[in-house]
Amino acid sequence: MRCYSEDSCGDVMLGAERYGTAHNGLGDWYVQRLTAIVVALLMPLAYLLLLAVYNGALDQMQMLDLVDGYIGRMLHTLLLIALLTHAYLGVKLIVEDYVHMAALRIPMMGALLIGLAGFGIWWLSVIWAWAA
Amino acid sequence: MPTVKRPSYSRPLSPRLAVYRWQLPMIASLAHRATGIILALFVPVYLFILTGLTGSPDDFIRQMAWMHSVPGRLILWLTGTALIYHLVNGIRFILLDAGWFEARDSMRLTARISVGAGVLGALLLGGFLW
Repeated sequence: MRCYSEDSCGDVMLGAERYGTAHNGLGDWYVQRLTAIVVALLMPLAYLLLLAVYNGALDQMQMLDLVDGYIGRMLHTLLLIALLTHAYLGVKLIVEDYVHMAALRIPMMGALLIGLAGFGIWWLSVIWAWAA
Repeated sequence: MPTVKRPSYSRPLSPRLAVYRWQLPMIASLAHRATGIILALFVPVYLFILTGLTGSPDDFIRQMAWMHSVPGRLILWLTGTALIYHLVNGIRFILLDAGWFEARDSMRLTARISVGAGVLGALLLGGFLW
């Protein structure tokens, strides 16, 4: 259904034919939700593990047994990739909403991207360097 | 070519905080962004804690002492509360995207559940950490 006049625009959300000028907004939207689900499944595990160590329920060796195995490393890697992607897209959305000056916005987004990528590389090196 | 009629008056778009009346779903949305920024800032702290806890036994003891200090507890409490809220409200947002609870009343009710979960989480986590 084409939305050329106001009379025919009732169902425009059900069959949009014009996607605006960016053409890639849906990609960000979808990846944001996909990574949200990965983070929602894995982040509570990481935080509960942290609280168990805080509480003394797990000592260092018991904690290492959980995170230092191959499965622990894989899940941790999956978590950090999803988390950093989710954080990048989320902060990007906020910056795009509130920072309108290009001279400020472009360096901010660049610093965010490089910063998160740097943390990701450091984080990966920490996880995969643990003595097996 | 399709054309879009724009109203002649300038209608405020969504992030205009100074224009709209404050309502609970709006606060829930803003809190989602605020807690998201807090959690993004927690990434370096998480790495700091992770390297400490998985380092030598001395590193572990030092990191545990930091986590039990007042700033350590406050940071764990703040980020944990932000995580609980962001998780519950994030599930709410995905349900909204899927088309559930879109009516005005259910938007308000689910916003209340999100904020309530955040407050309850803050209390429980505070009890656990102190």
